[in-house]
Amino acid sequence: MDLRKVPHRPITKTKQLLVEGRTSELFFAAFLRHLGIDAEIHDFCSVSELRPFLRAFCARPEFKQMVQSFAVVRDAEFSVKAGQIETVCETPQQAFASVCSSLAAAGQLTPPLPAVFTQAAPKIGLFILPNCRDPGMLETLCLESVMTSRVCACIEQFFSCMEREGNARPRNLIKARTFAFLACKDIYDPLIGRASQKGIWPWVNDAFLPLKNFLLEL
Amino acid sequence: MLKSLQIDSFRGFRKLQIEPLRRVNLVTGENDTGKTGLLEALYLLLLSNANQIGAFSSAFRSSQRNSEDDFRGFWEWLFFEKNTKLKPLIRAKPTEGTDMTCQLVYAGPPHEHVQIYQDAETNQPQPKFNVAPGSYGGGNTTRLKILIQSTHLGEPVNDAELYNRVSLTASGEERILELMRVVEPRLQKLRYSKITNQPLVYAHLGFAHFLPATQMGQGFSRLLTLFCEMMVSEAKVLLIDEIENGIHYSVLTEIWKGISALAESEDIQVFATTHSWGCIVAAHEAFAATDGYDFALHRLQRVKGDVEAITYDREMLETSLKGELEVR
Repeated sequence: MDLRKVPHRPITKTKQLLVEGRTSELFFAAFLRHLGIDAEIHDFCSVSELRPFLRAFCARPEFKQMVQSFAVVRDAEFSVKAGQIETVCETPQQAFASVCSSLAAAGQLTPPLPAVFTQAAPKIGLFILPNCRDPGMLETLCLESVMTSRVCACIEQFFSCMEREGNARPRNLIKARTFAFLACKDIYDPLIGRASQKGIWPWVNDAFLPLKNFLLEL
Repeated sequence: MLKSLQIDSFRGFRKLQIEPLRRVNLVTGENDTGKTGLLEALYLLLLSNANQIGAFSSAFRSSQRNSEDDFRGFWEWLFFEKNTKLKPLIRAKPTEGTDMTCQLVYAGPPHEHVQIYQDAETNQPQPKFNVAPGSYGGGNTTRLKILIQSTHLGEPVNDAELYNRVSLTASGEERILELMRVVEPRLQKLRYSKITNQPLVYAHLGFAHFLPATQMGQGFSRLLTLFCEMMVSEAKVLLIDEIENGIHYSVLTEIWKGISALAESEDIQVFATTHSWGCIVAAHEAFAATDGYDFALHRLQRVKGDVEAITYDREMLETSLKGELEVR
Protein backbone atom coordinates (compact mmCIF):
# COMPACT_ATOMS: atom_id res chain seq x y z
CA MET A 1 0.00 0.00 0.00
CA ASP A 2 1.32 3.41 -0.96
CA LEU A 3 1.07 5.46 2.22
CA ARG A 4 1.92 8.60 0.26
CA LYS A 5 -1.51 8.52 -1.36
CA VAL A 6 -3.45 11.48 -0.01
CA PRO A 7 -6.46 10.33 2.05
CA HIS A 8 -9.87 10.66 0.48
CA ARG A 9 -12.16 8.92 2.94
CA PRO A 10 -13.91 11.59 4.96
CA ILE A 11 -16.77 10.69 7.27
CA THR A 12 -19.79 12.44 5.81
CA LYS A 13 -22.84 10.32 6.70
CA THR A 14 -24.70 9.55 9.90
CA LYS A 15 -24.60 5.79 9.21
CA GLN A 16 -21.25 4.06 8.93
CA LEU A 17 -20.37 0.50 8.02
CA LEU A 18 -16.88 -0.83 8.70
CA VAL A 19 -15.85 -3.87 6.68
CA GLU A 20 -12.68 -5.81 6.05
CA GLY A 21 -10.96 -5.29 2.70
CA ARG A 22 -11.81 -4.02 -0.74
CA THR A 23 -13.83 -7.11 -1.64
CA SER A 24 -16.19 -6.62 1.28
CA GLU A 25 -16.42 -2.93 0.48
CA LEU A 26 -17.66 -3.66 -3.04
CA PHE A 27 -20.00 -6.38 -1.82
CA PHE A 28 -21.62 -4.17 0.81
CA ALA A 29 -21.85 -1.18 -1.51
CA ALA A 30 -23.97 -3.31 -3.84
CA PHE A 31 -26.03 -4.85 -1.02
CA LEU A 32 -26.73 -1.48 0.65
CA ARG A 33 -27.76 -0.06 -2.70
CA HIS A 34 -30.16 -2.98 -3.15
CA LEU A 35 -31.58 -2.37 0.34
CA GLY A 36 -31.84 1.40 -0.18
CA ILE A 37 -29.66 2.16 2.86
CA ASP A 38 -27.68 5.41 2.73
CA ALA A 39 -24.56 4.49 4.69
CA GLU A 40 -20.86 5.14 4.20
CA ILE A 41 -18.51 2.17 4.01
CA HIS A 42 -14.96 2.16 5.37
CA ASP A 43 -12.38 -0.55 4.86
CA PHE A 44 -10.58 -1.33 8.13
CA CYS A 45 -7.88 -3.19 6.15
CA SER A 46 -7.59 -6.45 8.13
CA VAL A 47 -8.84 -8.04 11.33
CA SER A 48 -5.50 -7.49 13.03
CA GLU A 49 -5.78 -3.77 12.24
CA LEU A 50 -9.36 -3.34 13.43
CA ARG A 51 -8.36 -2.24 16.94
CA PRO A 52 -6.11 0.70 15.90
CA PHE A 53 -8.52 1.52 13.06
CA LEU A 54 -11.42 1.85 15.50
CA ARG A 55 -9.31 4.02 17.81
CA ALA A 56 -8.48 6.33 14.92
CA PHE A 57 -11.96 6.24 13.38
CA CYS A 58 -13.79 6.98 16.63
CA ALA A 59 -11.35 9.81 17.40
CA ARG A 60 -12.28 11.70 14.24
CA PRO A 61 -14.20 14.92 14.95
CA GLU A 62 -16.77 14.06 12.26
CA PHE A 63 -17.43 10.78 14.03
CA LYS A 64 -18.00 12.53 17.35
CA GLN A 65 -20.25 15.17 15.87
CA MET A 66 -22.17 13.37 13.17
CA VAL A 67 -22.32 9.60 13.38
CA GLN A 68 -25.57 8.22 14.79
CA SER A 69 -25.00 4.53 14.14
CA PHE A 70 -22.27 2.26 12.94
CA ALA A 71 -21.71 -1.41 12.39
CA VAL A 72 -18.67 -3.63 12.11
CA VAL A 73 -18.83 -6.70 9.90
CA ARG A 74 -16.06 -9.28 9.89
CA ASP A 75 -15.49 -12.94 9.10
CA ALA A 76 -15.43 -15.66 11.70
CA GLU A 77 -12.00 -16.54 10.34
CA PHE A 78 -9.22 -14.42 9.01
CA SER A 79 -6.09 -14.77 6.91
CA VAL A 80 -2.64 -14.28 8.30
CA LYS A 81 -0.36 -13.38 5.43
CA ALA A 82 2.87 -13.16 7.38
CA GLY A 83 4.30 -16.61 8.08
CA GLN A 84 3.02 -19.86 6.68
CA ILE A 85 -0.43 -20.01 8.22
CA GLU A 86 -3.05 -19.15 5.67
CA THR A 87 -6.11 -18.90 7.85
CA VAL A 88 -6.83 -18.74 11.53
CA CYS A 89 -10.23 -20.00 12.58
CA GLU A 90 -12.22 -18.35 15.30
CA THR A 91 -15.67 -19.28 16.43
CA PRO A 92 -18.24 -16.57 15.82
CA GLN A 93 -18.30 -16.05 19.60
CA GLN A 94 -14.54 -15.52 19.69
CA ALA A 95 -14.72 -13.14 16.74
CA PHE A 96 -17.53 -11.22 18.46
CA ALA A 97 -15.54 -10.98 21.71
CA SER A 98 -12.49 -9.79 19.79
CA VAL A 99 -14.41 -6.95 18.11
CA CYS A 100 -16.02 -5.99 21.44
CA SER A 101 -12.56 -5.69 22.96
CA SER A 102 -11.48 -3.43 20.08
CA LEU A 103 -14.59 -1.28 20.52
CA ALA A 104 -13.89 -0.91 24.23
CA ALA A 105 -10.30 0.12 23.46
CA ALA A 106 -11.76 2.85 21.25
CA GLY A 107 -13.92 4.06 24.15
CA GLN A 108 -17.17 2.73 22.69
CA LEU A 109 -20.00 0.71 24.19
CA THR A 110 -20.27 -2.93 23.17
CA PRO A 111 -23.44 -4.63 21.99
CA PRO A 112 -24.79 -7.50 24.12
CA LEU A 113 -24.97 -10.00 21.27
CA PRO A 114 -24.01 -10.32 17.61
CA ALA A 115 -26.50 -8.63 15.27
CA VAL A 116 -28.02 -6.65 18.17
CA PHE A 117 -27.44 -2.89 18.29
CA THR A 118 -26.65 -0.90 21.41
CA GLN A 119 -29.34 1.61 22.28
CA ALA A 120 -27.24 4.62 23.33
CA ALA A 121 -25.94 7.00 20.66
CA PRO A 122 -24.16 6.14 18.55
CA LYS A 123 -25.93 2.83 17.98
CA ILE A 124 -23.33 0.11 17.51
CA GLY A 125 -23.81 -3.37 16.03
CA LEU A 126 -21.53 -6.27 15.11
CA PHE A 127 -22.14 -8.95 12.54
CA ILE A 128 -19.95 -12.02 12.23
CA LEU A 129 -20.11 -13.55 8.77
CA PRO A 130 -21.63 -15.67 7.44
CA ASN A 131 -24.62 -15.57 9.85
CA CYS A 132 -23.34 -14.92 13.41
CA ARG A 133 -23.74 -18.62 14.14
CA ASP A 134 -21.56 -20.75 11.86
CA PRO A 135 -17.87 -20.46 11.07
CA GLY A 136 -17.01 -19.05 7.68
CA MET A 137 -16.61 -15.88 5.71
CA LEU A 138 -18.26 -13.69 3.11
CA GLU A 139 -17.69 -16.35 0.44
CA THR A 140 -19.56 -18.88 2.60
CA LEU A 141 -22.58 -16.63 2.56
CA CYS A 142 -22.43 -15.85 -1.15
CA LEU A 143 -21.92 -19.47 -2.06
CA GLU A 144 -24.84 -20.54 0.09
CA SER A 145 -27.08 -18.17 -1.82
CA VAL A 146 -26.35 -19.86 -5.16
CA MET A 147 -25.55 -23.44 -4.16
CA THR A 148 -28.38 -25.63 -5.28
CA SER A 149 -27.59 -29.31 -4.95
CA ARG A 150 -26.95 -29.55 -8.71
CA VAL A 151 -24.50 -26.65 -8.80
CA CYS A 152 -22.79 -28.06 -5.75
CA ALA A 153 -22.40 -31.44 -7.42
CA CYS A 154 -20.96 -29.87 -10.61
CA ILE A 155 -18.30 -27.95 -8.69
CA GLU A 156 -17.41 -30.97 -6.55
CA GLN A 157 -16.97 -33.05 -9.68
CA PHE A 158 -14.68 -30.41 -11.11
CA PHE A 159 -12.39 -30.47 -8.05
CA SER A 160 -12.44 -34.27 -7.91
CA CYS A 161 -11.52 -34.42 -11.58
CA MET A 162 -8.65 -31.95 -11.09
CA GLU A 163 -7.43 -33.98 -8.12
CA ARG A 164 -7.33 -37.17 -10.20
CA GLU A 165 -5.14 -35.28 -12.66
CA GLY A 166 -2.60 -34.67 -9.93
CA ASN A 167 -3.74 -31.26 -8.66
CA ALA A 168 -3.91 -30.99 -4.89
CA ARG A 169 -7.19 -29.95 -3.31
CA PRO A 170 -7.30 -26.18 -2.73
CA ARG A 171 -6.54 -25.29 0.88
CA ASN A 172 -9.47 -22.91 1.09
CA LEU A 173 -12.28 -24.88 -0.50
CA ILE A 174 -14.92 -22.24 0.15
CA LYS A 175 -13.01 -19.61 -1.79
CA ALA A 176 -12.07 -22.10 -4.51
CA ARG A 177 -15.70 -23.16 -4.97
CA THR A 178 -16.75 -19.51 -5.17
CA PHE A 179 -14.12 -18.75 -7.80
CA ALA A 180 -15.15 -21.83 -9.78
CA PHE A 181 -18.75 -20.68 -9.69
CA LEU A 182 -17.84 -17.13 -10.75
CA ALA A 183 -15.67 -18.42 -13.59
CA CYS A 184 -18.84 -19.94 -15.07
CA LYS A 185 -20.46 -16.49 -14.86
CA ASP A 186 -17.85 -14.83 -17.04
CA ILE A 187 -16.22 -13.20 -14.00
CA TYR A 188 -12.59 -14.07 -14.42
CA ASP A 189 -11.34 -11.69 -11.78
CA PRO A 190 -12.23 -13.87 -8.79
CA LEU A 191 -13.52 -11.11 -6.57
CA ILE A 192 -16.92 -11.61 -5.04
CA GLY A 193 -17.08 -7.88 -4.55
CA ARG A 194 -16.91 -7.33 -8.28
CA ALA A 195 -19.45 -10.07 -8.78
CA SER A 196 -21.72 -8.17 -6.39
CA GLN A 197 -21.39 -5.06 -8.53
CA LYS A 198 -22.42 -7.17 -11.55
CA GLY A 199 -25.54 -8.44 -9.81
CA ILE A 200 -24.49 -12.09 -9.56
CA TRP A 201 -25.72 -12.73 -6.03
CA PRO A 202 -29.46 -13.20 -5.51
CA TRP A 203 -30.08 -10.68 -2.74
CA VAL A 204 -33.56 -12.02 -2.05
CA ASN A 205 -32.23 -15.49 -1.18
CA ASP A 206 -32.85 -16.56 2.42
CA ALA A 207 -29.12 -16.91 2.99
CA PHE A 208 -28.84 -13.12 3.06
CA LEU A 209 -31.80 -12.63 5.42
CA PRO A 210 -29.90 -12.35 8.77
CA LEU A 211 -27.44 -9.88 7.24
CA LYS A 212 -30.24 -7.94 5.58
CA ASN A 213 -32.18 -7.65 8.85
CA PHE A 214 -29.05 -6.47 10.62
CA LEU A 215 -28.26 -3.80 8.03
CA LEU A 216 -31.81 -2.51 8.06
CA GLU A 217 -31.32 -1.76 11.78
CA LEU A 218 -28.30 0.44 11.02
CA MET B 1 12.08 15.34 28.74
CA LEU B 2 8.41 16.23 29.10
CA LYS B 3 5.96 13.33 29.44
CA SER B 4 2.67 15.18 29.27
CA LEU B 5 1.30 18.66 28.76
CA GLN B 6 -1.83 20.36 30.05
CA ILE B 7 -2.97 23.77 28.85
CA ASP B 8 -5.90 25.61 30.46
CA SER B 9 -7.51 28.87 29.33
CA PHE B 10 -4.63 29.73 27.02
CA ARG B 11 -5.21 31.06 23.47
CA GLY B 12 -7.93 28.90 21.86
CA PHE B 13 -7.59 26.09 24.42
CA ARG B 14 -10.23 25.93 27.10
CA LYS B 15 -8.68 22.74 28.45
CA LEU B 16 -6.18 20.67 26.49
CA GLN B 17 -4.38 17.53 27.61
CA ILE B 18 -1.64 15.88 25.54
CA GLU B 19 -0.25 12.57 26.65
CA PRO B 20 2.04 10.78 26.16
CA LEU B 21 4.71 13.03 24.72
CA ARG B 22 7.59 11.35 22.91
CA ARG B 23 11.13 12.30 21.93
CA VAL B 24 9.78 13.71 18.65
CA ASN B 25 6.25 15.12 18.52
CA LEU B 26 4.54 16.21 15.34
CA VAL B 27 1.52 18.47 15.78
CA THR B 28 -1.14 18.60 13.08
CA GLY B 29 -4.61 20.08 12.72
CA GLU B 30 -6.67 22.33 10.51
CA ASN B 31 -6.13 26.08 10.41
CA ASP B 32 -6.79 27.89 13.68
CA THR B 33 -6.87 24.78 15.84
CA GLY B 34 -3.85 26.01 17.81
CA LYS B 35 -0.71 24.33 16.47
CA THR B 36 1.37 27.48 16.83
CA GLY B 37 -0.42 28.26 20.11
CA LEU B 38 0.81 24.93 21.43
CA LEU B 39 4.41 25.87 20.58
CA GLU B 40 3.84 29.21 22.29
CA ALA B 41 2.58 27.45 25.41
CA LEU B 42 5.79 25.41 25.53
CA TYR B 43 7.83 28.57 24.96
CA LEU B 44 6.16 30.28 27.93
CA LEU B 45 6.50 27.21 30.11
CA LEU B 46 10.24 27.11 29.46
CA LEU B 47 10.94 30.87 29.77
CA SER B 48 14.29 31.33 31.47
CA ASN B 49 15.08 35.02 31.04
CA ALA B 50 13.48 38.35 30.25
CA ASN B 51 15.06 38.56 26.79
CA GLN B 52 12.95 35.59 25.77
CA ILE B 53 9.85 37.55 26.74
CA GLY B 54 10.93 40.34 24.44
CA ALA B 55 11.32 37.89 21.59
CA PHE B 56 8.16 35.93 22.37
CA SER B 57 5.58 37.80 20.30
CA SER B 58 7.71 37.52 17.15
CA ALA B 59 8.97 33.98 17.76
CA PHE B 60 6.27 32.42 15.60
CA ARG B 61 4.14 35.34 14.41
CA SER B 62 4.45 38.79 12.88
CA SER B 63 4.44 41.42 15.58
CA GLN B 64 5.73 44.79 16.68
CA ARG B 65 8.01 43.80 19.52
CA ASN B 66 7.58 45.51 22.88
CA SER B 67 5.13 48.07 21.67
CA GLU B 68 1.78 49.11 23.12
CA ASP B 69 0.21 47.43 20.09
CA ASP B 70 2.05 44.26 20.91
CA PHE B 71 0.57 44.21 24.40
CA ARG B 72 -2.95 44.75 23.07
CA GLY B 73 -2.60 42.66 19.92
CA PHE B 74 -0.61 39.76 21.32
CA TRP B 75 -0.38 39.43 25.09
CA GLU B 76 -4.05 40.04 25.80
CA TRP B 77 -4.95 37.38 23.26
CA LEU B 78 -3.04 34.76 25.20
CA PHE B 79 -6.02 34.68 27.54
CA PHE B 80 -8.77 32.31 26.38
CA GLU B 81 -11.38 34.33 24.50
CA LYS B 82 -9.44 37.43 25.60
CA ASN B 83 -11.00 37.02 29.03
CA THR B 84 -8.33 38.57 31.25
CA LYS B 85 -10.14 37.45 34.38
CA LEU B 86 -8.94 33.93 33.60
CA LYS B 87 -5.50 32.74 34.67
CA PRO B 88 -4.06 30.65 31.85
CA LEU B 89 -2.08 27.71 33.17
CA ILE B 90 0.45 25.54 31.35
CA ARG B 91 1.61 22.43 33.17
CA ALA B 92 4.04 19.71 32.11
CA LYS B 93 5.21 16.52 33.76
CA PRO B 94 8.90 15.88 33.19
CA THR B 95 10.38 12.38 33.22
CA GLU B 96 12.05 13.23 36.51
CA GLY B 97 11.18 15.72 39.23
CA THR B 98 8.08 17.70 39.98
CA ASP B 99 5.62 19.29 37.57
CA MET B 100 6.63 22.46 35.75
CA THR B 101 4.00 25.18 35.50
CA CYS B 102 3.58 28.62 34.06
CA GLN B 103 0.61 30.82 34.90
CA LEU B 104 -0.40 34.17 33.47
CA VAL B 105 -2.24 36.72 35.55
CA TYR B 106 -3.61 39.98 34.20
CA ALA B 107 -3.21 42.95 36.56
CA GLY B 108 -4.57 46.47 36.34
CA PRO B 109 -5.69 49.03 35.34
CA PRO B 110 -4.39 51.66 35.95
CA HIS B 111 -1.00 49.96 35.48
CA GLU B 112 -1.94 47.16 33.19
CA HIS B 113 0.52 44.31 32.95
CA VAL B 114 0.70 40.54 32.66
CA GLN B 115 2.41 38.65 35.45
CA ILE B 116 4.10 35.36 34.68
CA TYR B 117 4.44 32.90 37.56
CA GLN B 118 6.45 29.72 37.32
CA ASP B 119 6.04 26.47 39.23
CA ALA B 120 4.57 27.84 42.47
CA GLU B 121 1.71 29.57 40.64
CA THR B 122 0.07 32.61 42.13
CA ASN B 123 0.68 31.95 45.83
CA GLN B 124 4.21 33.26 45.27
CA PRO B 125 4.58 36.86 46.42
CA GLN B 126 6.25 37.99 43.19
CA PRO B 127 5.86 36.83 39.63
CA LYS B 128 9.01 35.67 37.82
CA PHE B 129 8.37 38.00 34.88
CA ASN B 130 6.22 41.03 34.08
CA VAL B 131 5.01 42.33 30.76
CA ALA B 132 3.53 45.82 30.46
CA PRO B 133 2.69 47.85 27.34
CA GLY B 134 6.07 48.63 25.81
CA SER B 135 8.19 47.00 28.51
CA TYR B 136 9.03 43.71 30.15
CA GLY B 137 11.25 42.49 32.96
CA GLY B 138 12.26 39.67 35.25
CA GLY B 139 15.24 37.66 36.42
CA ASN B 140 16.82 34.46 35.20
CA THR B 141 15.42 31.05 36.03
CA THR B 142 16.63 27.53 35.44
CA ARG B 143 14.61 25.85 32.75
CA LEU B 144 15.15 23.35 29.97
CA LYS B 145 16.85 25.36 27.25
CA ILE B 146 14.65 25.91 24.20
CA LEU B 147 15.52 26.34 20.58
CA ILE B 148 13.07 27.91 18.14
CA GLN B 149 12.82 27.44 14.43
CA SER B 150 10.07 29.55 12.94
CA THR B 151 9.17 29.83 9.29
CA HIS B 152 11.50 32.85 8.95
CA LEU B 153 15.05 32.22 7.77
CA GLY B 154 17.84 32.92 10.25
CA GLU B 155 20.45 35.65 9.92
CA PRO B 156 23.25 34.42 7.61
CA VAL B 157 25.92 35.74 10.01
CA ASN B 158 24.44 33.78 12.90
CA ASP B 159 24.26 30.69 10.72
CA ALA B 160 27.92 31.13 9.81
CA GLU B 161 28.93 31.41 13.46
CA LEU B 162 26.87 28.35 14.26
CA TYR B 163 28.56 26.38 11.52
CA ASN B 164 31.93 27.57 12.72
CA ARG B 165 31.17 26.14 16.15
CA VAL B 166 30.04 22.87 14.60
CA SER B 167 33.25 22.63 12.56
CA LEU B 168 35.27 22.91 15.77
CA THR B 169 33.62 19.82 17.29
CA ALA B 170 34.93 16.31 16.70
CA SER B 171 33.54 15.02 13.37
CA GLY B 172 31.04 17.90 13.34
CA GLU B 173 31.84 18.86 9.74
CA GLU B 174 31.45 15.30 8.49
CA ARG B 175 28.17 14.89 10.29
CA ILE B 176 26.68 18.10 8.87
CA LEU B 177 27.90 17.22 5.37
CA GLU B 178 26.23 13.85 5.57
CA LEU B 179 22.96 15.39 6.76
CA MET B 180 22.98 18.19 4.18
CA ARG B 181 23.73 15.87 1.25
CA VAL B 182 20.17 14.59 1.61
CA VAL B 183 18.92 17.90 0.19
CA GLU B 184 21.96 18.66 -1.98
CA PRO B 185 23.66 15.48 -3.17
CA ARG B 186 26.35 17.49 -5.03
CA LEU B 187 27.62 18.96 -1.79
CA GLN B 188 31.33 18.20 -1.31
CA LYS B 189 32.37 20.60 1.40
CA LEU B 190 31.10 23.43 3.60
CA ARG B 191 33.38 26.24 4.70
CA TYR B 192 33.12 29.16 7.13
CA SER B 193 34.79 32.17 5.54
CA LYS B 194 34.89 35.94 5.85
CA ILE B 195 35.51 37.25 2.36
CA THR B 196 33.42 40.41 2.74
CA ASN B 197 32.55 42.29 5.93
CA GLN B 198 30.56 39.46 7.39
CA PRO B 199 31.31 35.76 7.63
CA LEU B 200 29.18 33.34 5.63
CA VAL B 201 28.93 29.61 5.05
CA TYR B 202 30.10 28.61 1.59
CA ALA B 203 29.23 25.36 -0.15
CA HIS B 204 31.42 23.47 -2.62
CA LEU B 205 29.18 21.80 -5.19
CA GLY B 206 31.94 20.81 -7.59
CA PHE B 207 32.07 24.15 -9.40
CA ALA B 208 35.19 26.32 -9.75
CA HIS B 209 33.98 28.57 -6.90
CA PHE B 210 32.35 27.93 -3.55
CA LEU B 211 28.77 29.17 -3.46
CA PRO B 212 27.49 31.28 -0.53
CA ALA B 213 24.85 29.23 1.32
CA THR B 214 22.63 32.32 1.15
CA GLN B 215 22.41 31.76 -2.62
CA MET B 216 21.11 28.24 -2.25
CA GLY B 217 17.49 27.23 -1.67
CA GLN B 218 15.46 28.10 1.41
CA GLY B 219 15.25 24.45 2.42
CA PHE B 220 19.04 24.14 2.40
CA SER B 221 19.52 27.23 4.58
CA ARG B 222 16.76 26.24 6.98
CA LEU B 223 18.10 22.74 7.46
CA LEU B 224 21.68 23.95 7.85
CA THR B 225 20.54 26.21 10.68
CA LEU B 226 18.44 23.48 12.24
CA PHE B 227 21.09 20.77 12.21
CA CYS B 228 23.87 23.11 13.38
CA GLU B 229 21.73 24.40 16.23
CA MET B 230 20.78 20.90 17.30
CA MET B 231 24.47 20.00 17.44
CA VAL B 232 25.88 22.95 19.36
CA SER B 233 23.13 24.88 21.12
CA GLU B 234 22.78 22.48 24.08
CA ALA B 235 19.03 23.02 23.87
CA LYS B 236 16.77 20.40 25.41
CA VAL B 237 13.53 21.35 23.67
CA LEU B 238 13.27 22.25 20.00
CA LEU B 239 10.16 24.02 18.67
CA ILE B 240 9.75 24.01 14.88
CA ASP B 241 6.84 25.69 13.12
CA GLU B 242 5.87 24.22 9.73
CA ILE B 243 8.82 21.89 9.55
CA GLU B 244 8.31 20.95 5.89
CA ASN B 245 8.62 24.56 4.69
CA GLY B 246 10.95 24.79 1.71
CA ILE B 247 11.73 21.08 1.64
CA HIS B 248 10.79 18.69 -1.17
CA TYR B 249 8.67 15.76 0.04
CA SER B 250 11.00 13.18 -1.49
CA VAL B 251 13.79 13.94 1.01
CA LEU B 252 11.61 14.31 4.08
CA THR B 253 12.08 10.73 5.31
CA GLU B 254 15.86 11.13 5.34
CA ILE B 255 15.54 14.51 7.05
CA TRP B 256 13.38 12.97 9.76
CA LYS B 257 16.01 10.28 10.21
CA GLY B 258 18.60 13.02 10.68
CA ILE B 259 16.41 14.85 13.20
CA SER B 260 15.70 11.60 15.01
CA ALA B 261 19.40 10.74 15.29
CA LEU B 262 20.37 14.22 16.49
CA ALA B 263 17.47 14.42 18.93
CA GLU B 264 18.60 11.12 20.44
CA SER B 265 22.33 11.86 20.54
CA GLU B 266 21.95 15.44 21.82
CA ASP B 267 19.04 14.59 24.16
CA ILE B 268 16.61 17.06 22.58
CA GLN B 269 12.83 16.76 22.65
CA VAL B 270 11.29 18.01 19.42
CA PHE B 271 7.88 19.61 18.86
CA ALA B 272 7.13 20.40 15.22
CA THR B 273 4.00 21.42 13.34
CA THR B 274 2.96 20.56 9.83
CA HIS B 275 0.06 20.63 7.38
CA SER B 276 1.72 18.20 5.03
CA TRP B 277 0.56 14.64 4.44
CA GLY B 278 3.95 13.80 2.91
CA CYS B 279 5.69 15.09 6.01
CA ILE B 280 3.58 12.86 8.28
CA VAL B 281 4.16 9.78 6.14
CA ALA B 282 7.88 10.55 6.00
CA ALA B 283 8.10 10.90 9.78
CA HIS B 284 6.22 7.63 10.29
CA GLU B 285 8.52 5.83 7.84
CA ALA B 286 11.64 7.30 9.42
CA PHE B 287 10.68 6.32 12.96
CA ALA B 288 9.36 2.91 11.90
CA ALA B 289 12.93 2.23 10.80
CA THR B 290 14.25 2.96 14.31
CA ASP B 291 14.30 0.58 17.27
CA GLY B 292 12.00 2.39 19.64
CA TYR B 293 9.63 4.49 17.47
CA ASP B 294 10.02 7.38 19.93
CA PHE B 295 7.56 9.49 17.98
CA ALA B 296 3.93 10.58 18.31
CA LEU B 297 1.56 12.55 16.17
CA HIS B 298 -0.78 14.87 18.06
CA ARG B 299 -3.74 16.07 16.05
CA LEU B 300 -5.54 19.17 17.31
CA GLN B 301 -9.17 19.17 16.32
CA ARG B 302 -12.24 21.16 17.12
CA VAL B 303 -15.14 19.11 18.52
CA LYS B 304 -18.33 20.92 19.46
CA GLY B 305 -16.50 24.22 19.73
CA ASP B 306 -13.54 23.11 21.85
CA VAL B 307 -10.09 22.03 20.74
CA GLU B 308 -8.94 18.57 21.80
CA ALA B 309 -5.76 16.64 21.07
CA ILE B 310 -5.74 13.10 19.75
CA THR B 311 -2.41 11.32 20.11
CA TYR B 312 -1.58 8.75 17.47
CA ASP B 313 0.82 5.98 18.42
CA ARG B 314 2.56 3.82 15.84
CA GLU B 315 -0.22 1.38 15.04
CA MET B 316 -2.97 3.99 15.12
CA LEU B 317 -1.04 6.19 12.69
CA GLU B 318 -0.10 3.28 10.43
CA THR B 319 -3.74 2.16 10.23
CA SER B 320 -4.98 5.71 9.65
CA LEU B 321 -2.56 6.16 6.77
CA LYS B 322 -3.51 2.82 5.23
CA GLY B 323 -7.21 3.27 5.89
CA GLU B 324 -7.10 6.75 4.34
CA LEU B 325 -8.32 8.51 7.47
CA GLU B 326 -7.34 12.16 7.72
CA VAL B 327 -4.57 12.88 10.21
CA ARG B 328 -3.48 16.34 9.01
